[in-house]
Amino acid sequence: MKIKLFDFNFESYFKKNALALEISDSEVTILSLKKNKDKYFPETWGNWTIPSGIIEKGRIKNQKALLTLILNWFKKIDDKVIFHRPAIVSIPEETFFSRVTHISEDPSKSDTFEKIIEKEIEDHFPLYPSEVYYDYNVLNTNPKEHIDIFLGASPKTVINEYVNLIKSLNLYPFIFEGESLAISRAIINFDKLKIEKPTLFINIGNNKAIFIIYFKEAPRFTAVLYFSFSENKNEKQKFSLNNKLQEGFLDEIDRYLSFYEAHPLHEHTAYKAVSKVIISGCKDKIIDNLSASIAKKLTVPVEICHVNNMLRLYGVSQLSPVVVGLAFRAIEK
Amino acid sequence: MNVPLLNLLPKQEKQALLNKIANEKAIHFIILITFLFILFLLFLFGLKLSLKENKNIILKQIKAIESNSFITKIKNNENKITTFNKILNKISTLDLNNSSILVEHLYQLTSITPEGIVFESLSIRDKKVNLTGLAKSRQILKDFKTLIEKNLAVKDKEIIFPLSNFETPEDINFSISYFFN
Repeated sequence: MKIKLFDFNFESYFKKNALALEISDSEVTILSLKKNKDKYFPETWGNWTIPSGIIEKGRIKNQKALLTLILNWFKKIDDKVIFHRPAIVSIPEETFFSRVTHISEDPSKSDTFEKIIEKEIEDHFPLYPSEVYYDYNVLNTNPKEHIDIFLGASPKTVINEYVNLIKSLNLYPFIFEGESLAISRAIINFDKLKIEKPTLFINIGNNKAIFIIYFKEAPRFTAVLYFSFSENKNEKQKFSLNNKLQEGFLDEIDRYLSFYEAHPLHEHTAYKAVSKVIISGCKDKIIDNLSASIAKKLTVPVEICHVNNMLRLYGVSQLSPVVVGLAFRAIEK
Repeated sequence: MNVPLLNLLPKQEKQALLNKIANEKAIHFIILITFLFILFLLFLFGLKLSLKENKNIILKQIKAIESNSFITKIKNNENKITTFNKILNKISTLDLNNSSILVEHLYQLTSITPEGIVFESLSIRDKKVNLTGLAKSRQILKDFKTLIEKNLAVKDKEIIFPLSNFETPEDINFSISYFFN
């Protein structure tokens, strides 16, 4: 019989003081939230624009320049508020591979469980297990025939880039998770949703859109689409998608939905088609336009999740669902 | 509804974080122990001061009590007891074998002492008796000398009776010495 001297919960110890950090190609956002009677308010918030060329498609191209920029921004707030805090960091979705997979062995009983996981990575991800850092969650704890596992992995080179950056920023690397998970958490927690039928989350960022088909307790499909805004000087149309781009968007969505419906990944359900679309993001006008277009083209209801409005009362704008999802991870039990 | 909680942080980084926690906790523990130790020292110091204060108060009270007449009486009695103990100590050094002879001799001496003779001092050492006193008249003193010669076991019947005993006819300060058997 094992006697535990310290039943130490690694995550909860650091969560209390954690800082969410989203580093995208065009922006750096930090956020930490406090919850008071179902209402959230910002404890720390900052949002800065990164010049182009420093980060490209999630890969840090010029770490020195990025470090100098971020350190200067952080110092402007308050060294004590930011530095030496545990960081919850988003991994670019382009480099994050995830999948719900099924295994027949109970992880608590099997000695070879890690090897089974590595075999799953080898079979379904485009990298060898030795080339990635991976983690998994057991989704159903009382299986009849097999166990569903949500498996996520990211190349070691990418993770190491971000670990080095976080350390150089005088922060402690604490949690690294894919953007799709942070977005899903932001939408689900914000609207207190229960996803009983497959639902498409679309998150519109500054230069990329992330598509997530979420069902029950995990994302089942994710995709990334890059775009650029029209450079129309008319203020009303400044942040809008031109017709061609919008059509392209709708075609992509159609393609993703068709792919998902054609590849049912053992969801243990009769629902194979996406039943709802939820759009989130910082650019309200794009979201409004896009939701109207999707509603016209698809026969499913389209909703908008105003995660970005969550903290506007406190003067916080341009709040990305990614950083909100990361911040939620710090405060959720 | 909980979204999967994956953490792609490398294991060595997790371990580094845990080490950091362990170090922090150790430092906190040391600080706590040091703080408690300092508190304990302060407590002891306070206790010492308090005891010192109490000691002074008690000493003052003792002095106040000592100055009281009752205590003075007790002290006098103490002195008397000390003196008595000294006497007892001397008595214990006496030759108990000869004590009965001595007592008998003193008894005889007092029984033959006539009226008009008052002893002022009596000392007996090595069977030599020294008597001083006051005789009412010369005749009474002479009678007393005769009584000693006749009734007491005076060695060789030799009594030292200085002539100064006859200097005055009345209220004579006399001195008599003799050895007894």
